[in-house]
Amino acid sequence: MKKIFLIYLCVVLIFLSGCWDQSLLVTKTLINGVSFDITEKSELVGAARILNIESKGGGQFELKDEMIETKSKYSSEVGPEINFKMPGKIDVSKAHVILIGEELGKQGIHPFLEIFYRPKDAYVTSRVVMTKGNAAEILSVEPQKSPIAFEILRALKSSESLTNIPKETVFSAWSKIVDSGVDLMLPYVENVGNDRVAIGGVYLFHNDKYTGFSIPKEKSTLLLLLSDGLQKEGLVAVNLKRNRSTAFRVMDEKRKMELVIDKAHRKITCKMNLELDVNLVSYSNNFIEKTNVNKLNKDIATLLTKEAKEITNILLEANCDAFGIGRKLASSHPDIWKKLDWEKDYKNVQFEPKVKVNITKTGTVF
Amino acid sequence: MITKKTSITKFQLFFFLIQSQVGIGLLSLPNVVQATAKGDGWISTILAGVIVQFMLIIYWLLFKHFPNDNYTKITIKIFGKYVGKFLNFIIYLYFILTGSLALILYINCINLWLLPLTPMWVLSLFIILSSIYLAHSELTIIARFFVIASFMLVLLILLSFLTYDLEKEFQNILPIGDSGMKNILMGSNKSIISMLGFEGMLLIYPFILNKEKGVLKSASFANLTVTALYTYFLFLCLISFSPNQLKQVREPVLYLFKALSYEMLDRIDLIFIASWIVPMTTSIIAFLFFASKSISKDKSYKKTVLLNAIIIYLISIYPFDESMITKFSTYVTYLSYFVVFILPILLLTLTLFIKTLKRSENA
Amino acid sequence: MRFSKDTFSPGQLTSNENRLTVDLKINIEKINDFLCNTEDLIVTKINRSSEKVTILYLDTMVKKDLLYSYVIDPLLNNDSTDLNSLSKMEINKSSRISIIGKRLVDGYCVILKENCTEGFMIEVPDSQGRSINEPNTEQNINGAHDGFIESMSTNIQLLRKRVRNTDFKVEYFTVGKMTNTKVAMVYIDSLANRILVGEIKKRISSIQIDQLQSTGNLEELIEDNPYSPFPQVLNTERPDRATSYLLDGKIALIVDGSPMVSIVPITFFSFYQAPDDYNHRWLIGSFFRIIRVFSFIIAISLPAIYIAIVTFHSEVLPIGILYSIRVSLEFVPFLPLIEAIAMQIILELLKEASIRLPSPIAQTIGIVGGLVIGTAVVEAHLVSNTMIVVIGFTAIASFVAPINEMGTSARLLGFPTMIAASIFGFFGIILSLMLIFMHLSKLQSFGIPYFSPIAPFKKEDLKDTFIRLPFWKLNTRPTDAKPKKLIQQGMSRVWKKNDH
Repeated sequence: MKKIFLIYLCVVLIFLSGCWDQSLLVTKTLINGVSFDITEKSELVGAARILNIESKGGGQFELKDEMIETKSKYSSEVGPEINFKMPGKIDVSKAHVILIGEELGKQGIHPFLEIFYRPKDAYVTSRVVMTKGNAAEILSVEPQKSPIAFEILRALKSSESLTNIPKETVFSAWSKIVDSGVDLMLPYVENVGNDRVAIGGVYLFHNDKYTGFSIPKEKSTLLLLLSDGLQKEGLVAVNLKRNRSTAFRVMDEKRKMELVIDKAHRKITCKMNLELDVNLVSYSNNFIEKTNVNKLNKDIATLLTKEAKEITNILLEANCDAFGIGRKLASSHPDIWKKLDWEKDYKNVQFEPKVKVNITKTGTVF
Repeated sequence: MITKKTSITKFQLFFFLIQSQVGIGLLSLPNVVQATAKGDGWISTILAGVIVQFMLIIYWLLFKHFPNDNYTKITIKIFGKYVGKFLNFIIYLYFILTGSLALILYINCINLWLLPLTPMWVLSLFIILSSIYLAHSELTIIARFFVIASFMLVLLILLSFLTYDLEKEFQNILPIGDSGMKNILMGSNKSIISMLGFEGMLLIYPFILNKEKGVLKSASFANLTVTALYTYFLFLCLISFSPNQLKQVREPVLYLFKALSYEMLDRIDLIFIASWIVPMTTSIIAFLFFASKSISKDKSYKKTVLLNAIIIYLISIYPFDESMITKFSTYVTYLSYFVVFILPILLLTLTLFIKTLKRSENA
Repeated sequence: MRFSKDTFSPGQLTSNENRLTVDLKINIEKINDFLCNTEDLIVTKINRSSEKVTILYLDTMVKKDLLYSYVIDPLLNNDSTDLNSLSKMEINKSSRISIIGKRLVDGYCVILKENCTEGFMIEVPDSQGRSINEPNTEQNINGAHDGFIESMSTNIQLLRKRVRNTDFKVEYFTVGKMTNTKVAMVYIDSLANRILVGEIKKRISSIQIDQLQSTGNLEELIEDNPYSPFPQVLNTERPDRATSYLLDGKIALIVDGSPMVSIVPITFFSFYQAPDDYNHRWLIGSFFRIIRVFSFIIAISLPAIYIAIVTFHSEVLPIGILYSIRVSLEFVPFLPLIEAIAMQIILELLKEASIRLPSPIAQTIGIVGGLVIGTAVVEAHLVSNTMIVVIGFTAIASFVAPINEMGTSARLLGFPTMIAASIFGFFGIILSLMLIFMHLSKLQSFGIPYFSPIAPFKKEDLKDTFIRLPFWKLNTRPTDAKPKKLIQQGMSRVWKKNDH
């Protein structure tokens, strides 16, 4: 009799003491987007958009989200501060975008990424985006249709599929920051008035600090193509001489990167050969003639080579090793890599980009 | 007595060995190996697999001389009653300690990833109770369940195909051999402890049906599969993480799945760790079985299982902190060197020695 | 708890008392006594020209037409004193009261003569039973629509009609001291395993019980593990299913008075096979097989997975579903576990109620239960929408099992899985599924591993488990009943071979 009572007691105890780890969905506060900023007084401003469910009666619900802002001194304090300010337990598991302000980026974004990759229920697939200007302002934009975070996410996704901006999640950004042989590039968004937010281009980083240099969205596709990052397709529009302009879709690319090391003069030359297979989207030419594909190939190639050289110059100025030359050196010439101090020596790399274009399709007209 | 009811086929032997080897070690293997072998960690695991294969051949040769005895009986036969019993006690201790270490690492992992607030003794209790439920029966039934559990491994390998979406950086592997042979060997040392479990063959050899031929083939296949599995996951982690990142992440294999997100499912790592419970529990069941078989006779087997389970449980609920766990695992590694590597080689050489002595006497 | 002792054992009445005497009156009295003076025992005197003859029979067990035409008519018309060649029917003789009494209860009539110590017994039974029609619980679309009925001889006839083989063997047992129910064991002698047959014979003949009413009782008395939630004996009402198992080397047990036939030994996957699979094309049959096995997993684990996700790991859901579920849970005050258990219990109550109700009312209950309760409960914010969907889906999945018992077992096993899920989340689900599979690996049905051909893994048996390979490819029998002959056909499509 006593045995049965003991067993019963143990079983009941297990049930009564509660289910320790329960975190019911109803008690969670879902966060859409998070932003981090720094003010002139060196205070950190963290903002988040939380989901509100309003009942309109009859089983109908409307999803609205509201914004919360907090001020704190150190990076680790931001999370708990937001948590204290809002009802329910914070749940960043669905924070799709993490916006970081320009100024804060100049001081280093790693502490803010760390908040997202350390905990066990972290959401390392959320995208990291910089903002031109104040991030909290962008987060507080209220478009009509859906929460701002979703709008930004949608814009990011479509630009990524057109190879306009790189896809950087917390995980990949952290990978690149930690690796000394490659540097990070993050997309940035800006407020274009009329309650809309749009992609601005790409910011260049060195280690985890924003260098101040950026590449606008018209040129960033070429940068990505040079880093061998073609997604489904790449959309490029260029302005040619003699009042012609053309837009084309890059369907396939072949990039060869070769490092020529001159040990005597301690010079590293990086030769990049980029071959693009493109489909013409639009070509505003003389409306009588047929398109001269060969000439057009040559024209576009010269223009793109010139632009590529400009881009690489900006990279060198920003000390941003976006192509991963350090990594390539470490794997192919490890002895030289060990002797170099990449912080200083990167600036002495010479780039020789060459672009070749091959128009395969010109659409339904010639 | 070994009847048809209690024996296993070579097919089941294959799965039994796989399940007892694959356990908690795999999850943190890339991190552990990264510290020394860096980009050449995958060579370390292959080397470890070769060493295990060598040991399997030694076991097979040993059993050619003693086809119907298991490990504990052989020690008594060669070393005599007292030294043999002492060695058997060390073997028993080894299995108990390895089982407890596996359980401790297991519940630490679950505590970290799935259920942080649940007290460890509750987790440990439920795992031990389910282990007792299976270990209580005959070897055949355990082997049957292990065959079912192996389907889980196939599922997990299929899941790993999803990670091909992430950015891969093959240059992390190059240049091959950069870390130097010494570092690679140290990496092998660390990966051996994740591959422990194959020594179970020493205890279940008498139960195998038709053991005249084909046993070495099955066991080698099992070793090949486990080594391939470990190398595959290690390789995957090496090319998906950057080297410094890999040094910091505790369980890179799990973290790899964290970075995936799909339309229908999000946190694949939760699904992975939940499914990984099955191989981890089978390892613990295997060690419980080995410990009980090494010290008991046929009749008292069931009671020994209960006793050993209680011992393992008590060891596991002792509050260990990280440094103590590291120390514990170093001790277990040293003990494993003795029991798994040195002792069988010693037994084999002594057997050959005695045989040649007898032959020279007879001649 | 004493059950009645052997009232018909000859030891009760002493040897002398058990015998018929020369005196007719005393004989009749003794027999009347033996049958406790039951009022449906008719004692008729027939006046023949040669002698007086008394016929005794139980009014309720005897078919009057047979009695009059085959017994009383010949008695009246034929004047010979030799009763042996009296009628065309078989005549048994006995002088023991216990045997005469037993036969009377079985539907015989007994002829007693003056100065004769032997009684002549002729069988004139009345068998009333329903006609053969398709069983309600095991319907299928294409295929035979006959089913077993309560009479044992008809059932055996249904089986013999399908297997016209001289190796078809029937063995009779009598079980139950008070009911004396007849049990028949049917198998194909050249296929069934000798050891298996011996084992089952041993188990049945050693049953000591008062009453055996139905196959369910027999099942519990002879199965290996009565505590397991899984049935180890397959009960079926369809002759075509029973025949196919007989041809696999399995054994059928028929209990007189029950239309369910038990098949032993059985494996887990047999519960998910239906005769329909073989009447459709093999691709369609395989598709349905896979869906059925899949439904087992769903029936056990779907509510548990939902509970685990909502209670512990809501991060697994992508944003779209997450918002919908969050919205539906907003005003529900209960834990998901309580919701789930409540809805499951309501479902079981509805199911039980619809079995008991007469058909006109049953339809109303269907509407009331389904629509009103379901919708109203959601509107009252007592249960969330998604929970109703999940539970409904689980219920449908559990009814997919061709044998009802297995579906109910799966539903019941869902309860502990739900509780485990609500305490430990995914860990709990995997733990309880592991325990269930461990139990399945351990379970044996008459010495045959229950979860074969998965554990132990038999490649040859897989061709009829998850998928159904074309009939001409099924060249070996399933090995789970260890039949004597494995190869059942060689190249069956000989016309094709001859064509080339």
